[in-house]
Amino acid sequence: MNQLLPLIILIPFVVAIAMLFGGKLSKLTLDSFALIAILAVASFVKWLYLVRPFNTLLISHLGTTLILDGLSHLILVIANVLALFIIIYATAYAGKYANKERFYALFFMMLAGVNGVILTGNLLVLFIFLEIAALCAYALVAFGEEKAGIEAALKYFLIGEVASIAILLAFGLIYSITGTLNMAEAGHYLLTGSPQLKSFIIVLLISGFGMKAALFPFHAWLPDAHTAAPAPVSAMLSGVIIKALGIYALVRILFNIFGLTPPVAMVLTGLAVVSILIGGLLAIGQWDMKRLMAYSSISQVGYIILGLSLGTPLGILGGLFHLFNHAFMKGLLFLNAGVVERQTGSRDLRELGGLKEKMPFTAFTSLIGSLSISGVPPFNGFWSKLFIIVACVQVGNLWLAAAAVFGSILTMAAFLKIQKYAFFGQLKNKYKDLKEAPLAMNISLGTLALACLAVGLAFSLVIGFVINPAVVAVANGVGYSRMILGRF
Amino acid sequence: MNINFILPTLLLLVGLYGLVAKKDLVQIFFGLIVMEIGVEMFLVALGEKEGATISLGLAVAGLLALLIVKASEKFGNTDISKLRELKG
Repeated sequence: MNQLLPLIILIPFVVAIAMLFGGKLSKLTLDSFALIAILAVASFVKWLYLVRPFNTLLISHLGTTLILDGLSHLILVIANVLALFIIIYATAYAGKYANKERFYALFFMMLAGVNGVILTGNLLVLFIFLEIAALCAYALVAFGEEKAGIEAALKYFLIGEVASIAILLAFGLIYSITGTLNMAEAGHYLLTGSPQLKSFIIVLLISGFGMKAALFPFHAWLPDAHTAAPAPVSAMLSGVIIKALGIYALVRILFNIFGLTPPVAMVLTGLAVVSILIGGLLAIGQWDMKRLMAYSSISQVGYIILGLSLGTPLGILGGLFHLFNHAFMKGLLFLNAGVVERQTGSRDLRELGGLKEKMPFTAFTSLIGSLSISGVPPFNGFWSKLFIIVACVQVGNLWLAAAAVFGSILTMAAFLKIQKYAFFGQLKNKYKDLKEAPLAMNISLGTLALACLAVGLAFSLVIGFVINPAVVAVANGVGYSRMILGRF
Repeated sequence: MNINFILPTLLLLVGLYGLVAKKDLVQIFFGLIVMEIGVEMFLVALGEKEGATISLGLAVAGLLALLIVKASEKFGNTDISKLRELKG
């Protein structure tokens, strides 16, 4: 089993290379090839749950160390399952671009990078995969080659590269203290070492990965990049990239290698609360549908970091569960906005209206997504936000709980705005001949909407199987390195 | 703190200045490259032996150059204060 782990990175990588030579093939061939490949990876990742006993590690030493524990497994499932739905959707959406094989090549290379970041146990390899994924993400944002796309990609590129430089500098400093780039060994040696240098490294890491995760005050790139990118890419950026490259890497290194100290936790909590409020407030003011969702992503990243930074088991559970839920509901919402834009040619809420008469299915899935992200029972977002708020009360900080509740109200207001202006109200004359989206898009929207409801109803099952192993891995803290070194 | 670390630090700061203070995309490009070289020199000074980050730097420079060329084609210049397609 351990020897099969590299496949999770290799399959998307090989598919990406193969796609580059597929320019002559028909679109149908490319689509089916992409679908089969992503289906294989996603089912393999899910199948690993059946063969991996609870809370055990899978380690592979083929070339480089790959480690699969509860946390990496959670993020891996999110990334690959969401990518599956996005590919299903993209078979219809990416049709409007001439060179589809390049879209798939970049997408799969990005997925290979993301899977590599999640699985690797070596800091330098993590950085390399992070750069691969980030470079593909920049290129995908500019994929439409429109003015807005190129401007957003440049902005994303410059901020992202400054983040990468900060991260690389931090890894270099870790190497200078410990003499190793292996995460587990570095964690072991970092238990000692000068506290000043360690604080400096942590500052570099929080700013670097904070930029990748779009945490306030490093969020400036996110609204532009998510708005200008093609819809499948926006969904992937918001659902997977900011989580895998930003939150996962930050949590892995801060919690498992350095160990979360109270001052660091306080800084993270502060940034998270400001993110929740700023993201929520700015979202309400937007008229561009995707831009509104992008600002809301900043707010939701705030929730995830807030839960995690509390450091209590319930807080970590809430944060990770919200990470899981947010990937699916924001993926659904971005794909939904893509459908609206594709069918009407506009994402400006002032120009839309009454779409639910002509596109009932799109309106229905959008409503489910909006209710989920606003935290209305029985949808999945309700439970994760509830856990985070209860965890805030549990640590005795009512202000945090109040901020989280207020942020939830802001989110609800923002998404009610989408419902009111886009889907309800009077249908405009120019939209008389509007049709529903193609079947492939609707399959993807419907399944994601169903997932939001199903996870909400069966939340205890999901927590037991998927979230709890990850909570154990995060709460284990610096015990991580002992656990892994014990296996050598 | 010996000479091996002073030069990378200087390069980092010079690059950061170029990145933050300049308005022309080409100047920003060189700011980023100088910063990257600073970090790479820092890693070499620390005794990091693997060359992977240096080849990544090439990919980064290539993609950024491509984006800048595309931007100058679409917008007609390379001044970032003129790139105002996105608002809000």
